[in-house]
Amino acid sequence: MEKEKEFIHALREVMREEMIQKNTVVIQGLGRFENVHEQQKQKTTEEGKVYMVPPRDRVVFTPEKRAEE
Amino acid sequence: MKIEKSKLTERLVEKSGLASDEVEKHLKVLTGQIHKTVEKGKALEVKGLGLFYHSEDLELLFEPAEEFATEVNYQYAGMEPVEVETGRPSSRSTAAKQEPYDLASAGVASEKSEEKGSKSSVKQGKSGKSASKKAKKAAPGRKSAAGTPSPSRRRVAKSEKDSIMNLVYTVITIAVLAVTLIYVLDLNESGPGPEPSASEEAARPEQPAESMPAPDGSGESSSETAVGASSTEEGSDEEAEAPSLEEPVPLRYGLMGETIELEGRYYTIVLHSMSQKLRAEEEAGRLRDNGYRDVLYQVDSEDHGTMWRVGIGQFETIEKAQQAAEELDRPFFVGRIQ
Repeated sequence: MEKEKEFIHALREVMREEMIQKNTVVIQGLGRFENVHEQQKQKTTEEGKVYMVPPRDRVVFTPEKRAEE
Repeated sequence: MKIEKSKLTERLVEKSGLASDEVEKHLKVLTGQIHKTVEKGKALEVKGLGLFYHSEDLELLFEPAEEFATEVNYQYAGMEPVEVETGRPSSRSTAAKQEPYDLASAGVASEKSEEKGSKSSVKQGKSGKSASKKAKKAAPGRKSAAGTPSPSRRRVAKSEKDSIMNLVYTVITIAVLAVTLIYVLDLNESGPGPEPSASEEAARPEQPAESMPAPDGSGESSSETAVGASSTEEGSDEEAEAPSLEEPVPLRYGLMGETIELEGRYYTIVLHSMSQKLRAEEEAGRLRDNGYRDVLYQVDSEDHGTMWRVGIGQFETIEKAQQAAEELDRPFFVGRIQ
């Protein structure tokens, strides 16, 4: 149980570190985890107000079936 | 770069202290558990990482835990959408606003111009709003019938033309006077040189003072003062050389150089958003050392608490900031200051 916790903690840390460096983490039998950068964009509300939406780095998961395609 | 099985195992061994085969076993158990759970139509949460579940078409989906997502998005965490200023009236919108005014004034003008026109036109010009409304309706018809703008429009255009011409004449007159004054001042400066010759020469500066017309009736005394000041050597030197003695004024906006204390709104290219002020200051210092105008400011976010943003450059408009940022070839966000 303790080892399981250690493993999960390590997995989370490794994934975080790798994804911050824009690396893709592939877990066999599951899929791949990517850090996808989204550019800032302008959005206009119904009232006509224009907003600049900040960019972000997003975690994107692709299940293995798709990853293989 | 892809971190696949062998590299991932290596990193997990390094991080957890577990043996390689143990790591592989744990990975296998975890993936099996995830599939088993989601196939039952349930979701499995891996603590600190996120939630695995099935979509309606049985596709495996993953939703990262909030903390994990924030950590991956550390550079931009805490950034909120910024409202872009759109309040400035453009020339187009001003023109659009003026359009009803033109129509109204065309209505008023029609009262005068229609004196020569047809009876129906006189009726249109008779009274206030309804007349101008009719004029609005009538105007296109008249235009198409004659193939030219209506007389009222022509009159408005003519009066506009006259006022423009008046303005042009005024500007030309002022320019001629200014050139004359400069010419006289130049003569005056060179005059008291080695040849303080005749009294004619000495009298010369006074001529323009007299010849300066007083458009507003007070010109005579003021032009005398100006010439008088320039005729005194010290005064003239100070005034003449004052502009050339001025230090070059640093540019108000720009990407490089020294950061300027600006009052009012401006934009900067945000490169970092950090929770630790010290780190943000270090980053700002590094950018400053590289010649950029560094901008450090604090943002209070409901989700992430206080964040420190580090930006480069000071720009008058968001478009100019974006333009400069695109040349940087790195992720950025344009932030608004004040």
